[in-house]
Amino acid sequence: MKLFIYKTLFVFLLIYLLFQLTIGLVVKKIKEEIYNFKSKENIELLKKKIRIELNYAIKKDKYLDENDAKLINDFLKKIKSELQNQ
Amino acid sequence: MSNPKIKYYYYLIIFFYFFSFFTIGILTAKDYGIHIEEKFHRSNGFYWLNYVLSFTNLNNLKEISLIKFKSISDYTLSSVAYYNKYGIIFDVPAALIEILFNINEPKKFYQLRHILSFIIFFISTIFFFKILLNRFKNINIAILGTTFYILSPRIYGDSFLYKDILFLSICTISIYSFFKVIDNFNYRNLIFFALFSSLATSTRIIGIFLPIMFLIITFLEILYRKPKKDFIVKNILCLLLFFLFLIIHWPYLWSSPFNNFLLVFKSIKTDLVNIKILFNGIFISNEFIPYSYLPRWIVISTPTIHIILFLIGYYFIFKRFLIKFIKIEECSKNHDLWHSLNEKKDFIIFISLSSIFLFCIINNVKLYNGWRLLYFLNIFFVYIITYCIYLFFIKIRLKNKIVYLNLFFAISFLIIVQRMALYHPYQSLYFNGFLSKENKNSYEGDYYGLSTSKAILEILKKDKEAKEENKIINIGVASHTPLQRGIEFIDINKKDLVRIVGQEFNSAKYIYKNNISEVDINYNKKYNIPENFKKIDELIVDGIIIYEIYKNLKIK
Repeated sequence: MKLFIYKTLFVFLLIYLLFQLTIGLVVKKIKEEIYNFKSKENIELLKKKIRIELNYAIKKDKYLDENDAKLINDFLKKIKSELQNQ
Repeated sequence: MSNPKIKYYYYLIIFFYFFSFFTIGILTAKDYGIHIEEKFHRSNGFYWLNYVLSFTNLNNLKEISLIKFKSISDYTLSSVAYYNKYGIIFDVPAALIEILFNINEPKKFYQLRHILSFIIFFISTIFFFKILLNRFKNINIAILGTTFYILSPRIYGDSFLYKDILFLSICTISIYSFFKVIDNFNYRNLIFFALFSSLATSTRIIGIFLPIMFLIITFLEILYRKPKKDFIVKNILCLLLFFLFLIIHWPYLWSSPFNNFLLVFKSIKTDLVNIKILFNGIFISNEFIPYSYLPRWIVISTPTIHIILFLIGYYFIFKRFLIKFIKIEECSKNHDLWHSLNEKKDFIIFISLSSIFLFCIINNVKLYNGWRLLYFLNIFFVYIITYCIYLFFIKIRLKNKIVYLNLFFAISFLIIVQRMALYHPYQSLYFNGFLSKENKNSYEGDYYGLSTSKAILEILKKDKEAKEENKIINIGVASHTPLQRGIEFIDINKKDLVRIVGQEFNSAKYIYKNNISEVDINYNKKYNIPENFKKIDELIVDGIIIYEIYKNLKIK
């Protein structure tokens, strides 16, 4: 009986440690990623990047690819016509 | 030690040893600045003193405590009524002494607390010595171990600032009473253990590990052999007494003992601040501290000799228990995991340290300001260091070379003392040689804000207008340190000359900056020093920036 209890406790401890060091670690990483993504610092960083990109776009002669420009134009026309039909 | 002359000689050495330590501590206590949480704890003391007195007829005392409580105001201070789960065993007696001795000068009532804190730490060193003497039965080893306990720079530096060291001190006394229970399982020892472990638990809820360890040992005893009825009764009584003492001395539990006790556990998640901390050069959230956080902090902020001896001692203790665990039999003559009372004591220390350490790392316990929340682990570290010394003594005794070993330790202690003197009074910020000078500022600096009052005084000394014309000067703060609280520690006539303006740097004539930030300064620029400010002063100790002072060039 005594040996059984010792062995059971030991196995449970090992399983717990194994779980924490494998799945637990992955869960912790994911949680941390989400936390960092939602953090104020990250939002500030994104804002900064958007500003840089907008400035870059303004300064460039031709920012959009011809096909992309046509696609966006068609899309906007479609939206506009749908809105007018309402 | 049967010879009375030798006994007398040893007693004399022990007396002078502790007397010297006490004298040094008391004489240097005044050098330590105010730390940022002292005002809160003073407030906590009067709040609970007033509450306790409301059950008595001591109306005069109650009125004074209420007046004192209301006089403690500060916009940076958290509400005691909200953060009311702190223990009272230091704060309330300190508040009572302040009233009884009519201490009204701010500097004096904080210095009183520093001295009281050191006295408690000093008492704990005596108990630690008794723990080692109880275990190793050798005065030489006990003195060496106690010296390692005292010469832990961060612990010594914090011994004047209560908080974490108060918990460490009470834990030391509790462990001594635990050892006494193991030696003699009588009612007297059980009552003392229940009392001190309850005091430890109210100081820091993690002190609950003491009764848990007691239960684990009881469980292992029951597993080994069928217990007597008396054994079970005494165990139950000890646990009941633990809760009884806890309720008696912790007024927070009086209104609703069970619910409030559970609330303390819940508050661990909610009340601990969620901030960014500087660790290894990058700002990380203390919600997700890396596994390396705790080991790395311990390794870089503890003297090298401590670490080496600890690793050797831990290896041998671990090996011993591993072998014993593997060899457990269904029916054995000796106990499964220990063969003597001394081994049982080693087991308690080994399991306590390993389980708390692993628990904190695996469960991602929120830590900040280095490892100060776990300074109580130093008891176990130094115990294991002493175990290592004990092994050395056994090996070397045969070769009659103990004097060389003592000489080696004496030289090591002198080196540590020299380093501690270099850091004085900022031993709380000690880093060892593992960390290069360039990297010393890649970790949090003066988190206690010990330098705040000194920095304010330096500014007042440097500023002509303040010195000669008594003009008020505005000081900005470029760090997460409530500089406001540093004003408490300067003379009353100088207090009115200072106005803290926080991060409104436009109106500041000077800016105080230290290496503490709750935000990532790479993205959040709120602590950036404006271009019109120039550094005029700094305090650097062993490469660690304690503080920097900047002056506004636009304001003459």
